[in-house]
Amino acid sequence: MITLFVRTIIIYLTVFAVVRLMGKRQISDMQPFDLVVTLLIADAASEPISETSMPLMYGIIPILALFLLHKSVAFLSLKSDGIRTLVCGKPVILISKGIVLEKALRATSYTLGDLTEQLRIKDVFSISEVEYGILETNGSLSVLKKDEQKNAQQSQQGKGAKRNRNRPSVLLVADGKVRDKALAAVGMDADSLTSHLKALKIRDVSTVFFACLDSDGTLNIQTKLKKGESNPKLKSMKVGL
Amino acid sequence: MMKNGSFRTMTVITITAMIISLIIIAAACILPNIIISDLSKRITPLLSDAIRNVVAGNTPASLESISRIRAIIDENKNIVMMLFDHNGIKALSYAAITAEELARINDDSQLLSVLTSITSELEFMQHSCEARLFNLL
Repeated sequence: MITLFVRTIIIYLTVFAVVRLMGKRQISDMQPFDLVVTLLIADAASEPISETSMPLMYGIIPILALFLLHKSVAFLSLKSDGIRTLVCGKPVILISKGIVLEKALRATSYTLGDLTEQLRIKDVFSISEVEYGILETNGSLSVLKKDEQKNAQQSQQGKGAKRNRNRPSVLLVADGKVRDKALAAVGMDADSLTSHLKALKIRDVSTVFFACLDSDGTLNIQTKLKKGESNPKLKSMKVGL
Repeated sequence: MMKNGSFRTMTVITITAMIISLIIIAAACILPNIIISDLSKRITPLLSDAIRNVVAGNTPASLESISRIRAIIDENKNIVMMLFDHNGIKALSYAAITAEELARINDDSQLLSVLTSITSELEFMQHSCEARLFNLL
């Protein structure tokens, strides 16, 4: 029995350390991929605890291998959009301007029942109340209500804004890399982006941590931290497209 | 709330943990093969010697080789148990003890079968840690 007890402590400490190092996330926030890795770790840990004829290494090695692979994939996902899309998938717009996109619904195997249930959870009881409904990669539904959109537009008009755009904010630059498709979606090109950056005294796009264009036409840019810097710099400007 | 310094410490800890994991995995891939090859290299000549003596009808002479085999297995038991299924090394150990007893009572036919089982168990353990296609599938 003492063997079982000691083996349990060793496996517990290993799993504790690995789960802690893999990042603190609640199950509801997990990507399906994260959940699968967590389940695999739990399974790899359970057998050597109870099976005393099995070396502990048979449990520890798979756990460490999963930890290494998971961290490597997470690192590559941070560095590459393609790998992130491959691992996590892409958010899918299910409702656009109050209209349910049937093809998107079918492609994501989301039923109308699921959609209305998720909307009810967000205190939305009619699809017509929704301006945008986006199925996020972790399976949750983000909702932009029509009245919220209208209020935002009214406040812009009050401030004398020239344009109103009915769309969520768009990420144009991520980790120093320009997202061409996003640029095209907002009617910009690389040259116009560069000129906007220059106007904000940013010479090189690779120094930009992120740049996103809000629905009111505000371009928000945060530059990457330089060595010794502790506070990130956020710059904004109105963009006329 | 975590501060910037804490993030840096966390990154250092994570990278260190990854390096340690990599070293442990590399060791676990290399060590079993080395240990079992070494064990096999030391035991196989003694086994051949013991089998030759038994076949020649000189069973008492095989006792010395079998005792040395048992000593080698006992000596390496702990490290082998750390890296291999415990049942494998237990089977080897029991076979060596049985062989020793059979040699003492001159039971040639049983002794030959036990010595052969030690050879096949060793071969099985050696094959199980080789990176071969049929091991991976």
